[in-house]
Amino acid sequence: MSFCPRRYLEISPPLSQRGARGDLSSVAIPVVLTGSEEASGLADMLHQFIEQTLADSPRKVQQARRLAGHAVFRSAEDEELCVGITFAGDRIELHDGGTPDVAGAMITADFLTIAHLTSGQESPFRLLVQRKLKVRFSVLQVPFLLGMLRFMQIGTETTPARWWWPVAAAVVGGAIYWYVTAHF
Amino acid sequence: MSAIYSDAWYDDMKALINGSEQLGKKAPQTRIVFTLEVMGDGVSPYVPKEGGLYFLLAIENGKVIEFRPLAERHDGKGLSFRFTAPATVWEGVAAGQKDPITSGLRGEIKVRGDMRFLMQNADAVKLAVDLYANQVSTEWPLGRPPYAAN
Repeated sequence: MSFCPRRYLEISPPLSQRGARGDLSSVAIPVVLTGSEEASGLADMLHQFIEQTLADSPRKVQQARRLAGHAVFRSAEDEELCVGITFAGDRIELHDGGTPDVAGAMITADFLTIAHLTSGQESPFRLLVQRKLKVRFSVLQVPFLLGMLRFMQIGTETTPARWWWPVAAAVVGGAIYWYVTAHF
Repeated sequence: MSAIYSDAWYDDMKALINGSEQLGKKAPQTRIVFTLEVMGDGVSPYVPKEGGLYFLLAIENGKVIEFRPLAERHDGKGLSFRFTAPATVWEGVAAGQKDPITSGLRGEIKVRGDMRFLMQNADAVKLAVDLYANQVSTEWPLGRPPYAAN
């Protein structure tokens, strides 16, 4: 397996630097992209998204450090496009391509759905009910998936903690609803 | 109707974007500056194999306030986004043969910039690329994609 770390720093835009706070070098978590020689756009964009999220928010760094688990993102536009993401405490690995583990957690959605989810424009519950978001998981993976969802939501570092629990409950409820309606 | 990459073609594009009421509502109010990089790939007859066409666009309040070709690749300073793709990919999108979102996810169109901003404004991005893909009448004086491989 070859490691091919990528950076987005060739651009020094006002937008990619907004909200940056202080020197975060002591708390940064490396985000490593591995896999095929030429990264898919899905992997590349996820890589940039996670690096930028960590660079902008010490709270997100703390959230990421507490996460341990693995999931696969699959594009609904092209189901051949899969990116595995592993949170291992002190590092985050993205693996581009390959065949997803049948027992692993998998999240399938199109670009707009992921965008609406991460930006908080749509609730995960609503997206699950609408089947725009499809999540395959085991019960043991639920805490990790909820934590990862929280990590990936933009702007949640300033949200009061009590906000999280109704959403978590909605996600679990939606997932159960989806599982029941899909399998029975 | 205007020829691909001609000044008139980009004027048409600018007029389409500025004329879109929906995009005006959904677009971020902040100023966004980005470049489109059209890279020669030896297949497109419109861009030399080793060359490239570079365009700078500035959008504010959902309106294109600046659009101009660049003599060379932008150094990145002050840019919000950079979109780079082989000419055949851009031309496939312009001809309505390729979905730009799927091309982006596959990595055919490389995107550099603030992904969180992109996610927060994905609806506006989708509207803009749909305008690009579906609503500009384009002339193809040297032939229309898909091209026969050289």
